[in-house]
Amino acid sequence: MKKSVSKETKINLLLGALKSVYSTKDKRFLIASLLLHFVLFSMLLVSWQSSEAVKIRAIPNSVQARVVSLDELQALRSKREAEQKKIVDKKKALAKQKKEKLRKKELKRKKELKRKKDLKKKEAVEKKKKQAKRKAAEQKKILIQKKEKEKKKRLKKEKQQKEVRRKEQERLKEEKKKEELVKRKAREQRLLDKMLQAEAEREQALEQSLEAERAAQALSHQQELALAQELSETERFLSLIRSRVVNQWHIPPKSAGLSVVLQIRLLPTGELSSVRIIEKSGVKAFDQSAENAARGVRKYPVPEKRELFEKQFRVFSMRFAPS
Amino acid sequence: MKLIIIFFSFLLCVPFAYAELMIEITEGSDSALPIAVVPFANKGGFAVPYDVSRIVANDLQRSGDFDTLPSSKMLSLPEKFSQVHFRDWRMLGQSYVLIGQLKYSDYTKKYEISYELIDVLSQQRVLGEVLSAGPKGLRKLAHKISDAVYEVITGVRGAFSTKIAYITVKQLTKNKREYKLHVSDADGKNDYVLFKSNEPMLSLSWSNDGKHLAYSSFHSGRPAIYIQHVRSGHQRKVTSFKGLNSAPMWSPDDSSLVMTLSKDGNAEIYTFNLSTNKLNRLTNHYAIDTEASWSPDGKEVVFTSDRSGKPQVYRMNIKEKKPERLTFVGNYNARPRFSSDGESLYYVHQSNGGFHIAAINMKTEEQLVLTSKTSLDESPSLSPNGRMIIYSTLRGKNSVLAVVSVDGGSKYFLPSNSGDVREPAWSPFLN
Repeated sequence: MKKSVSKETKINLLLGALKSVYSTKDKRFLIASLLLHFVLFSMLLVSWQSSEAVKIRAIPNSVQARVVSLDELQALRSKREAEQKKIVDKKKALAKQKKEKLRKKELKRKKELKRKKDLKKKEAVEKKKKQAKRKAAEQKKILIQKKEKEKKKRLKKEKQQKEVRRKEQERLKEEKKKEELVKRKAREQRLLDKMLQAEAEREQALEQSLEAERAAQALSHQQELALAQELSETERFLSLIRSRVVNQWHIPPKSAGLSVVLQIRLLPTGELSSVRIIEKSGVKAFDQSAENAARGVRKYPVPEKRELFEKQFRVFSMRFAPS
Repeated sequence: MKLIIIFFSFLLCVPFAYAELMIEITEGSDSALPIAVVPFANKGGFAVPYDVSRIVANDLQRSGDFDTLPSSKMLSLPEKFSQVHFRDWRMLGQSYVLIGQLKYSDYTKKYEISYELIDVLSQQRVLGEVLSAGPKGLRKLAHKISDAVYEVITGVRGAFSTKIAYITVKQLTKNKREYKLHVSDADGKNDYVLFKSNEPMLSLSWSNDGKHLAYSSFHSGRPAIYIQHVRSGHQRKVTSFKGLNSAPMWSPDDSSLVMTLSKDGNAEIYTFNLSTNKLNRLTNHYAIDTEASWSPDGKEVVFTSDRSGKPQVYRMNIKEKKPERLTFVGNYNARPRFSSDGESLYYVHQSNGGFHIAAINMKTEEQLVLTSKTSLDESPSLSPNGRMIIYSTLRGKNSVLAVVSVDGGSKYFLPSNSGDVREPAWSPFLN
């Protein structure tokens, strides 16, 4: 085997050498020469090999026997057995080791497989989780969008309602304003009317008083008596008494709403016999002012007819209540 | 049998008893109540710095509710009750006679005055007191007697012992004026200067305890509202916001001031809490809102606003903040002030080309012009008993102080010898 290798090597070397010697131009010649040489060398080689085998044939080794004792043989056997056992053990150990290795490998493979499986599972779970999360997020997003949409809708609705309310309020306000304007104008008119009326009343009263004054001046004593006769006696004296008392009554300030009733006793001459408060007002100054008004009349006008005097003017009451 | 006859006779009399004549008196005399203040007898003939009985007579006469009899018309000058001849006083048409005596004690250096008020018609003594005071306290004592007499006859507390505050303006040079814040007795006497400045002062307002005055002044270079203690003169700046700081008015409980500020761009009404320094804006309108004053219960303010185009008086509840127009007659109604009972409102009203003090009844809405004979009347301020109104008016070239009764029946001018007199403010009761 070695020899054939070396021969090929040599051939190759040779071919290499030839390649280097000949140029490419002579390629055809070279291939032809090589083929020729190959044939020649092959022939040579075949012939050389057959001659060499004869020459170097070695003397076969014959079996060499030696006498050995039984013990020695036993020992050799034991040794061989031990060696064989050792080999077997070794083989067994190797087998065990191999088996263990295989088991470990298997275990490792299984572990790896399990790990991969777990990883895959985990990845699947993760994926699932991620998907769930994504889905949840998407749902949440949808929900938010929905809510926002609803919110927008609600706000829009509220805005619309607010606008409606505002318009309604504005309308009401406007109406109220108009109403107030109408009221105000009415009040203004009322006040003006009142003022005009008061003015007219004042003027009328002034006119009347002037008229009365003029009439009073014009009327002679005779006429006055005649007029008095027209009135009933009681009314006439009542009017005269009222007029005298009014002139004497100085109404204290802040007396609106107060009222006091006095009982008056007169003498037939018209002089005051006594004055007594029969209904108090609760304000001493006011009661005193009425009492003083009654006392202030020096002589009350009373009828000469005794019967009428006794019936109406001997004792009578006066209520003082400022209008 | 006799008993039966008496019983039936009694029954017959009953209808006559019920038929007793009743005369209704609903009006009174337009004239003031006649009263004679007899000059108080000077026991010992010593010198008296003031004529006490004269001061009392003047007080009563100025009130418009009394008509005092001149001493020259008196038939006698009684010193005590037993010396009063009622027939004489009745002949003179007097309802009341006030008599008194004056003594001086060298030991106490005080005057002792005993006085009696006699009802001529009932011939009874209705009031009597003995009072004493030093020479400087005699005026005060006289006003005290006036208050007592006024109250016992009218039933309304007298306001003669109160004070008034006002501003006088004097032209020093062509471009320089002197403004003085005066405080005096209600009759214009006994005055002193509380504060003076060369810059304008206006809108005086007394605190309801009578201890402080609030006003608007420019003396710091810009408008500001100040509070000044009347006795000590101590001055405190309350507000000096940008723009207008004017027309302060104390709330009835003296806890806040209502005022006009233009810090937000326009003249608006605010309340200012004096304890917390917090502002509360009451009005919010592009028109000018100013000259606010409180209702007696402190729940409302009345103010001037030109939101209708012309200055008119408006009322506003502090909480609701909804203004309501009160005056409709005339083109100018301003500076409103409530009466002490809240039933009337007094303000400046323009009519017949002049400015007058007018009153409006809050219930009937009837308006009454009180000062038709003067013109350019302004700054009305009500006496604490609600019977008189002090205001400034033009007399000749200068403005002077005048007083009118709330029914317009009586009017008088307060003497002044210091140029223009403006912005009067009547104090509350001081004791």
